Amino acid sequence: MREYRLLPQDSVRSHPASYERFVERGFERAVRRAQSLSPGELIRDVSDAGILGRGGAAFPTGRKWASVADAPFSPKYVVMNADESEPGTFKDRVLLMDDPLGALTGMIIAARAVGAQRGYVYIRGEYQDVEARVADALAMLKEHGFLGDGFSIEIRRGAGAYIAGEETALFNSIEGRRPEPRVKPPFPTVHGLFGKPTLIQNVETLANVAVLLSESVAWFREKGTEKTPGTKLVCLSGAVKNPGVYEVAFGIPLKDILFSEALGGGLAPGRTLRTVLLGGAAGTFLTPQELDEAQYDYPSLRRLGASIGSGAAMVFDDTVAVEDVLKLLAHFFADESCGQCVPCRVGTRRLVELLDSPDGFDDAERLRDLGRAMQDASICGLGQTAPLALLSYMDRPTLWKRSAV
Amino acid sequence: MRTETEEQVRSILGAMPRERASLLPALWAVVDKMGWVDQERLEAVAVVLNLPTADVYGVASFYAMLPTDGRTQVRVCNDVLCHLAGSQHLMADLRANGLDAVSWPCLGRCDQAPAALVNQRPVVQATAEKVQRAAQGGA
Repeated sequence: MREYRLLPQDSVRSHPASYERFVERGFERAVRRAQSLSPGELIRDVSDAGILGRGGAAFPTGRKWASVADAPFSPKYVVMNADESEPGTFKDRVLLMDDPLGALTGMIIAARAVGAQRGYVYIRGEYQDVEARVADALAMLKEHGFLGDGFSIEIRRGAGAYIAGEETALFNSIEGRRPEPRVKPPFPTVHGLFGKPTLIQNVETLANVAVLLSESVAWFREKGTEKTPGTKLVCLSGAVKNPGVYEVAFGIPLKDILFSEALGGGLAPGRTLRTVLLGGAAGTFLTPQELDEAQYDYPSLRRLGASIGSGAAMVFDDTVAVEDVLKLLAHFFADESCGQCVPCRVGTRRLVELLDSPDGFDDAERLRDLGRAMQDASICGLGQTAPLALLSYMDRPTLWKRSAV
Repeated sequence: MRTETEEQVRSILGAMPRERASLLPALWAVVDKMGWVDQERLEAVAVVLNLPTADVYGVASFYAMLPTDGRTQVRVCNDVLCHLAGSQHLMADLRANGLDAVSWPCLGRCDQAPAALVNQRPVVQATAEKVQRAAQGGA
């Protein structure tokens, strides 16, 4: 039930940033194998493995690589997005602390595939313990000659801005500008960092590339489903006995993540489940019935209007009112809106005002109108997705306080 | 004439390229070495990197995490999971005990809620006592 591919087994005792770990986890083999393959063969392997981006959008990784590789400008860049900062999401912190060499190996391989000479690891300022671990790992890789000759990596530290995790805002941050998102298109693959073709990937996506190259496409596809091969890191938090980060195969029953003894371990005695907010702060509230039916895979969740998102699963029991969670989420998005575009700046603020007002939840038509305007007209994902959790709640009357016991 | 602050900043930035892309690393370098970046230091960064002060201010003021004075930074996560784990009470306790704790968005430690950050140091399953000990430089 609990998988160990991206996360090392407990029996792995070497220092996470050491050369010994690099060898023990098969990452040295992965780099050597990548060096023996052409960029085209690498992109083919990543495509055939069926890796989807793990940052939330689930874009096919191979297709992204091909787009950067084919872009006719240079230099090209590879960026690891470790600006993890959303309520309920903490997998990249755990992955980089426990096994930083996986994602860095993936980055080295990606650079070869797309033809990049320079890479950046962008880590949020609140994770300076993680940053130190990554710096140790980079120093080791450099010392052993895996970096520096043709490809170098620089760490960039964020400084307390959730929006900087949006890929184009992140480019602006590295460039020394205010981290406000850019209008897309053009997309990063052709016009990214410093206006050049850029491959930007989530930490976990790159770690998948490392384990893929250390084994094979066939091995990679042994776990997960036909459409979504591989494993996923789940960030389990809230009212379960064992909150934490767990690696699971795509397609396992969603309820097992909460209730299996090897994973969440169920709820505290005497408590019943109210809802799970799946996917992140802009995720979907699922009812206990939906949770029973769903598999942890994109097609199954899509039928419920949900998605895997960043891998967050926030569990709330009967002591929590969903309305209170929605108010907290609304405050988060209003605080973190960069203010650049009106639909998001005003919309997130209006959501706070409505939800904090005594009858705010009753004015369904107004909430839906506002949500739709934000989805349609905001520049970036923050404004576009800020109303999603609220809309998912409005579609599920059994979660409403007024109908609860 | 070069001021003393400007000389300090110049020496801290060392061989860092004098370009716009160095701005955030430069601001962090000043914070790491000098503790905070106030208006005078910010202007010095602008001079040394040869950037308009307004641009440097525009960037520096966007970020919430760059301290502008030497007070101990105590940040308490107040997002969903930490809030449900009582972070607002933790804030109140810390303030009652004279610590200038501020509410902070998700610290990414929801599995160990409530979480706090004392300067750069995370405190998980935080209690007022643990946070105060960290603020005093203890374990």
